[in-house]
Amino acid sequence: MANVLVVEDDRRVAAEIGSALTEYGFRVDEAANGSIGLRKAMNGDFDVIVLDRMLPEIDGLALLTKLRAAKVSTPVLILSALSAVNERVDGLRAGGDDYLAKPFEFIELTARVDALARRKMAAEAVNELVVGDLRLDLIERVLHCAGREIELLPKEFAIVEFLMQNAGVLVSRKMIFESVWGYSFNHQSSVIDVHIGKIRKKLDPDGLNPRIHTVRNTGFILRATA
Amino acid sequence: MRLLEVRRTSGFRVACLFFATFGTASLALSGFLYLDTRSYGRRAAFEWVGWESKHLLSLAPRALRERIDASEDFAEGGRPLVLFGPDHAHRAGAPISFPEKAPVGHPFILTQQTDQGPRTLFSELTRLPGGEYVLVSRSAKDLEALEKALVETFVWGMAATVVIGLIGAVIFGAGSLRQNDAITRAVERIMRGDLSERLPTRGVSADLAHLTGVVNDMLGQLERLMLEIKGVNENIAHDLRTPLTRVVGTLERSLRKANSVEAFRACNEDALAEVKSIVVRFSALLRISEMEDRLRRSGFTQVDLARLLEDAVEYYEPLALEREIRLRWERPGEPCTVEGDRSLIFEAVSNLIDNALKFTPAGGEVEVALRRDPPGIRVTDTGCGIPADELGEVRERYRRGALKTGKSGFGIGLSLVDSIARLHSAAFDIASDAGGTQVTLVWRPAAKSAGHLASIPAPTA
Repeated sequence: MANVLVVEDDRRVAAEIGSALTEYGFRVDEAANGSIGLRKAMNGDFDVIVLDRMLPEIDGLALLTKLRAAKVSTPVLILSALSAVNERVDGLRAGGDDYLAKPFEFIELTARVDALARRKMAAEAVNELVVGDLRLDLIERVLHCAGREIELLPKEFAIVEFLMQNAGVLVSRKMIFESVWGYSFNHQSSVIDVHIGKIRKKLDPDGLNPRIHTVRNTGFILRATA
Repeated sequence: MRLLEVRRTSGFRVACLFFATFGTASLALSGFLYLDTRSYGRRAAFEWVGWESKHLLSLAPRALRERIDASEDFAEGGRPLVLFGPDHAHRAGAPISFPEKAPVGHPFILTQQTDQGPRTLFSELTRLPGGEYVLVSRSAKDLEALEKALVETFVWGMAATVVIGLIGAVIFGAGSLRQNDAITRAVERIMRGDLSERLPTRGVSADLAHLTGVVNDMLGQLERLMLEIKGVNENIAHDLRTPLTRVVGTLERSLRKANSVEAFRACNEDALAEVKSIVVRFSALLRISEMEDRLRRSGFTQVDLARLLEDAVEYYEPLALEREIRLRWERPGEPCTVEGDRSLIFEAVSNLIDNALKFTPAGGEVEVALRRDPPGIRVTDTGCGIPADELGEVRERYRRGALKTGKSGFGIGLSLVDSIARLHSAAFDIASDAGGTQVTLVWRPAAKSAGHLASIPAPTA
């Protein structure tokens, strides 16, 4: 399983993150300040780094900039308690791959870390995604479900593509919204559920063979079916 | 009157400086006038003496003697003539002894002692062909009187100038002290917490009035923000207490009653859901405050409103379909760009559509439209409308519209839209009646005056 470095100065938060990620199956290493974090990130072989924005000794963004300058391309998820709205932009500009504002749900954190870890593993371009009996042709932009061609609207196609890229992994509503619509704000609405509901009906009109599963209060998981 | 304080005011000092400058110039002019008058008087006196000497030289001895005998006494300020023998002995005329040191044939000043004190004479000593000498003089008494009168006039004039100057400076100083006192009193009242107080703009000098005007504008802005913060605090307190009470209740219940893992889990999930709802509400409030942060504007880019509305409509279409509401949208052919933050504009648009869908009954219609020249967004619904008395309040920060529909969460969304509009210098307008609501967000052509919303009328549907 993937190795994750958690750079966070608050011991209790670090312990909670560590425990959530370990339970999920990651191997976790921790660093309590910026300089230890930088040293470990430079030397260790990590698949994902979870980096707090404000750290003692070396600030999170400075650490990230140094890391990228040293050609270390490990995916980084930035955590921030800062409230300014362009924090996210600053974080991503400095070389971050994803951003999560405190307070966050730990299930959302693990889902994002998992997505980053997979992105690193499957970095090469693919023309087709296959999950169980679902086959998504990225060139022709066609979805086949159990051999049957399914007609999808452009945004529905994008949602299915995102779910298939993260098959077997919990993805939050926010992750789907950010990935498919490309806008970033703390959106709290059940609209994504309605989209998922429509896709479910298209994939499985009788409701006998569910592929997209809802996780209460959190998000969805696409699981392979025979 | 606080004279010491007046003395330190800029009004007093400027007035003093002005009068000092003016006084120095007057003094220089008076001095020049005095010296010129004096020199002219002397020159004229010496000219007369020279001319008279030449005239006497041309007279016959007898006529000369008669003329000398008839001459005036110098003591009375007249024009005395004196005849001296070749031995310098006095022969006729005024009782003046021979001026031994005087140059012959040249004018000089002769001082003579009399009973009334020393007398100054403008004189010339001439040698007659017979070896005798004649002294022609003219008293300086008239000239001295004129000089004295001039000096007195100047002294009195200067004294009057100084007195008038000082009185003027005190009046000016007292005036500026009065202005300062009025401003100080106003500032003290503001410091004590009365933010409705304003600095005086009447009865103050024009340059100060401009400054107090600017400060008053600033105070107005501060007052507005303070009231908003106060309102937000009160609303946060009011709105967070209820869910917090529920969290406390749930956790206490779990400790008191839960006797199985499942029961604890259920309580935990309830508490977690409450905490999440608190976090959402709190984040929304924080976001509104952040909108005021002008730094956000540094991230502005060109945003295509047509594309953005298309995305928003695509996002909400399934929800509208589910609720049996017709979501009308005509795809524009051309892009329509404005300067802004695309995520924030999307957030505003999604709030508007979300609200419209929430308050429109099944079978109703929501129309999303793009406006051009100036660019803008219009969302119209056939919902229940907002009562006229609530229309003004509805977009005030953090107000929950207690509308008859019973649906919650109205106010905070529109407050967010209002803040986003402010940040983009866009005009945000709501028009509503029983037949529905129309909300417009219009970018003003020259987006320079941020933070101040001029209400523009909403177009008719």
